[in-house]
Amino acid sequence: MKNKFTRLFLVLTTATAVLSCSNDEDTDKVDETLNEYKYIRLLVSDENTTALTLFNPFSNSTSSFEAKHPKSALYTSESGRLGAIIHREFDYTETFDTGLEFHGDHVDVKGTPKFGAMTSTSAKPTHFKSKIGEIMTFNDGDGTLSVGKESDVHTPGAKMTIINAGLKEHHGAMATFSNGNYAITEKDNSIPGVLPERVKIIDRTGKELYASTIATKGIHGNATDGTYAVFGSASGILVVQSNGTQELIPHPANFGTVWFGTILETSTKGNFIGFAATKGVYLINVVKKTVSPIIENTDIMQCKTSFDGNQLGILLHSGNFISYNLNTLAISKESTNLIPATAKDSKQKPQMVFTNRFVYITQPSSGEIAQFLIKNTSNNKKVKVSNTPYRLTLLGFENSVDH
Amino acid sequence: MTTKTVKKSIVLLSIVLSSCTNDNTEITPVNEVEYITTVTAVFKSQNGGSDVVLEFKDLDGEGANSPIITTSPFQQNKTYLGSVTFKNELLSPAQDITPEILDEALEHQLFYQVTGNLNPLAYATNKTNYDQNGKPIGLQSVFKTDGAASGILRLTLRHGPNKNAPEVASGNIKNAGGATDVQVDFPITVQ
Repeated sequence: MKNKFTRLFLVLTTATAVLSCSNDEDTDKVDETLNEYKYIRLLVSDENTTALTLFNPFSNSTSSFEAKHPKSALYTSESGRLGAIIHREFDYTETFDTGLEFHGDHVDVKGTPKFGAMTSTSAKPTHFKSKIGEIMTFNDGDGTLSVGKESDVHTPGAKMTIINAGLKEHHGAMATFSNGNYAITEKDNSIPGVLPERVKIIDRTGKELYASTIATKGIHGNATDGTYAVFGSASGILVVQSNGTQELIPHPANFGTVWFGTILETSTKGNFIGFAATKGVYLINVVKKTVSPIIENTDIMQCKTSFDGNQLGILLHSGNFISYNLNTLAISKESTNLIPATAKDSKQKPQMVFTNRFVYITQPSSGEIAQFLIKNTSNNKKVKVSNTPYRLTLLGFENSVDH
Repeated sequence: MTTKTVKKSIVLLSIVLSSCTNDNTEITPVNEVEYITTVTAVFKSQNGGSDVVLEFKDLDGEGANSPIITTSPFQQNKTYLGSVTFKNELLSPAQDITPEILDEALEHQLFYQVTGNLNPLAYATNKTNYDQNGKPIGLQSVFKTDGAASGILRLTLRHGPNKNAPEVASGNIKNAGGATDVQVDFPITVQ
C-alpha cells in the first residue's frame, strides 16, 4: 500500500511539473524586436587614438580597426554598406566596407569588414553627403568637391575625383539632385567669416548650370530629397530646386535673428527638419512652405533622424530622450534620465544614433556605448569600445533576413 | 510518505522545471561572416588519367586581399565528371555550404561559361543534379576534351534564377536573372 502511494505521488508530481511548464506556442516565440536587426553595425571613432570599433549589436561582438588618424568624423553611404572616415585636420578621407549588401528583401555577406581601397587627400574635407551611388565631401580648404562611386570602394588605388567649380575656399555644403547635378554653396565675400552666402547648381564637371539668384547673410547646414535642396540661412530657409528656382521660406515669427544651422532629411519627400539650439526642432515642408514646431526646447543636445528617416530623436542635456513619429509628429517614446545629465559647456558631449529598435549613445568618459531598447529603456547595456569614443555612425541594414 | 520519497519528488520537480526554462529574450548569436570563401571543382577522369582540382579561395571576400586560385591542366581526349562544392572556411571547423544549396535546389543553379577554344561543359544527367521540377541545380557537369585548348572557365552560382526562362535549363545564364551568390574564374589549359 505504501509503495502504491509512493508511486502515485511520484506520478502526480511529475505530471504536475510537466503541465506547469507546458510551453504554449505564444510564449515559445522569440520576440525578435528585443534584439537589434542582424545586419546593423555601429562604427565608432576615438578622440585621442586611431582606434575604430565596429560593434555588431546582434551578436554583441566588437571588432577593432586602426584609422589613419584620431578624432575622425564618421558617415554612412547612401546604400548603408560603406562608412566614410573623414580626417578634416589631416586632409584625408578613408572608406570602410561592412561587407554587407542589401538585395531588396535580404542581405548578402560579401566579405569581411575592412577598409576600402578608395581614399581622398583633398583639403579639409568636412561636409559629407551620399546620393545616387556616390560618396562626396565638400573640401573647405579649397572650395572643391571630392566624389567617389560606392562601387569603386575596392578598386586598387582608387581616389575620389575632384570637382572644381572655381569657388573660393569656405565652410561649404553641397546637395545631389536625382538628375546627377549638384547644388553647391559659394562665397561672394559679402559677409565676413567662412560661411558662404549663395548656392548655385553645377554639373559633374563643375560647369555652372544655374547661377545663384539669392544672396543670403550666411549659410550652414543642408539636406536634399533629390528634387529640393534645402539650406539653413540667416536670411531664411533657402530652397533650391533642380531646375534652378530659388526661394526663401521665412523662419517662424518669434525667431528674431535665430536661424536653422542644421537641416536634416526625412524619409518623406518635401519634408525636412530644421534645428536651432536656442529654439528647438521644426518640420519644414518646402511644398507647402510651412515651418511647424515639433519640439520647442532650449536644452537639446542632439537632434537626429532615425536610421530609416521615419523618426526624430532628441537627446536633451538633462539626459532625457524623446522620439517623434515624423509622419504624425506624435511622441512615440519619452524616456527620462536615459543617461546622466551633460553640462552644456562640456567639451565632449555624448553622441547619439538610433534605429527603430535601439538608441546608441557614446559615453566619452567611460569608453563605452550605451545601448537602450527603445520600447523598454530599462533593457539596456553598455558596450566597451575605445577609451574616448568620439563619433559613431550606423551602418548596414534594418534587416535580419539571410540569403 | 517517507522523507526519501519527498526528496525524490523535489529532485524530480527541479529537474523537470529547470529543463523547461523559457527565456524569451534569448537569441542564439550567429556568425559574423556567412558567405562562400571557397569554391572547389573536382573533375574526375572517366577514361584514365589524373583527376583535376580547381580551387578558388578568398578568405576576406570583396576587397583587400586577392583570392587564391589554384588549377591544374586537363588532358586531351578525356571525359571528366565535375563536381563543385562550396565552403565557408572562416568558420572553425569550415562549413560546407553545399548541402544548404542542395536543400534549396529550386532556388539555385550553377552556370558554366567558357572562353577561348575550350569545349563547353554540359550538366551531368544524374538525378541528383536536378531539382524537384526536373530543372538543373548544376553542381555536377561533364567536360569533354579533345585537342589542346585554353581559356577561362567561369562558374556562377545564381540564387533565385528563373529556371523556366529560355535556355536557362540548358545552362545559358543570359536569361536566368536572380542574384549571384558567387562567381569565380579559373584559367584552364588542356594539354
